[in-house]
Amino acid sequence: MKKILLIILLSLACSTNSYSNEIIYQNCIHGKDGIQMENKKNKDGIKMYDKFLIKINIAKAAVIIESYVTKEHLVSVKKKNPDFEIPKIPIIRTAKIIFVDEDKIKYLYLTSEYTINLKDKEIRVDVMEPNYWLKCE
Amino acid sequence: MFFIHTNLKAEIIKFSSCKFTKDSLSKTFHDVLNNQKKEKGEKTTPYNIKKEMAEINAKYEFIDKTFNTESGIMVKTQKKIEKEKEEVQSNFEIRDDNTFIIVDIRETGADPFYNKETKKIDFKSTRVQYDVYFYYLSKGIVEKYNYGGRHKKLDYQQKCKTNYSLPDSSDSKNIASGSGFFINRNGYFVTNNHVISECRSKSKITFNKKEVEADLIATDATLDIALLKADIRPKNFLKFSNDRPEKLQKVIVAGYPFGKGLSDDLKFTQGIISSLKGYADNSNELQIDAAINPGNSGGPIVNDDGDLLAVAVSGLSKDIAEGINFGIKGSSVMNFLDVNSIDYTYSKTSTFSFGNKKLNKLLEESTVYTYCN
Repeated sequence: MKKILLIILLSLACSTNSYSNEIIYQNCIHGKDGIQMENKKNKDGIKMYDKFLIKINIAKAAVIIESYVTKEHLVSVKKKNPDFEIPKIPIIRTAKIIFVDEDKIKYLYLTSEYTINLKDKEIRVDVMEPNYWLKCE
Repeated sequence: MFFIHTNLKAEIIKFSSCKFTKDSLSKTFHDVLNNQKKEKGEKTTPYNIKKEMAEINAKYEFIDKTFNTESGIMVKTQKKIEKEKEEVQSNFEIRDDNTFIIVDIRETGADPFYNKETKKIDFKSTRVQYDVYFYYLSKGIVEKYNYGGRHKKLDYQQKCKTNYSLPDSSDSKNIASGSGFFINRNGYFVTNNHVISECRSKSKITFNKKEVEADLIATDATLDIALLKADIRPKNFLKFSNDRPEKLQKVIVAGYPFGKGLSDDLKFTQGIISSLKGYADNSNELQIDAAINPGNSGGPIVNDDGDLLAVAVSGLSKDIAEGINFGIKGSSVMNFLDVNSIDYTYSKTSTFSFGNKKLNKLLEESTVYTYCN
């Protein structure tokens, strides 16, 4: 009886998640160098990101960019610039969607216009193209 | 989750109408242009920061930032002329009672070259940079620094209007103060929108020498009118004049100029209606020559019978002109109250003028000092 109840509860929880209206792009590869964001290293060989995610929340008409920078990378910046303040929180930015159709979503972030091609899971920006784009899973 | 202990209470801190006061990119562009002019043997021009900043600021309709200390989220909204409005939310860190910080990471192009295939400027590599934004709350200053390699550079500085003052500073008690008046016995009172718009907490009034909190019911920023309600039954309230205002009509202004710094007594000035239009032909306003000083804002302008003709709103600077002050017409205030379904009363036309004693009593009982922090 307990097992049946647990299964019902789990399936309810799963259906709530799938109904969250959020698309998550992960394992994004940077178009310029073809390296996955989590494998990127700076020129001193220090790993840059623990995790990099892009979430598309249609219900909130928002694109959420989450960057989890490695402690090692932040410490390396502080070594070069002693007054650099190491952030204690991840970098989470939410940009409003300005255009949406079946194929693409557009949003403004740091005064640049970004386009997400939904079919290809590609994110392109209107500056520094054609090389500076992301291809995600 | 991170918890940072400061004396900051959960509140909304607003930076509005931000303007650029420094911008390193404009200086760089200017220097490049000057170098080109030098090479051509043309006359160079000195960098004029005021002119350059005016040009940058003219590109924006507005730049606002709102910090919610409870959620730890800052919402930046800005709109460039003829562009879409941009809204970005960022999580921020509280550094101390007067400083918030946001850190951004970005990759920028390095070693530029001309790409013959794409016929565009391209970059051989990328460089990782950190942008650190410092928000100095009480001064409304934003500074963006750029950290890359060993260099640190101020990218820009903005100056914004802020509703924040330091907890220990002398101006922290009252952010704004003005006058207001009751329009019915249910505790509804009217004041100017600008008297309450910067408040970080509920507005208060002094009633029977006690501090009473008031709820904001409705505002009209264009008209500069706000309606509030205190949970009290005033002894008296003002009725709206049944007659249209006329030029040369005698008016009396009641209020608390310069707050209670001058004295806590209600003060009166008198004059005439000079014009039935306000500044720049504003037909919602009328012009009077009775003195209106800071603190009079939101106070009543009445006729001899104590009937409301207008609400004191502003005046031209005493450096420019004397006796040119403005009030929002009673008819506009009535429209505002109608839209918000609030009861008010017209006066009955009387052939007898109020005596000074009666008029003073009416205004003393219906006019309030309003303030907030």
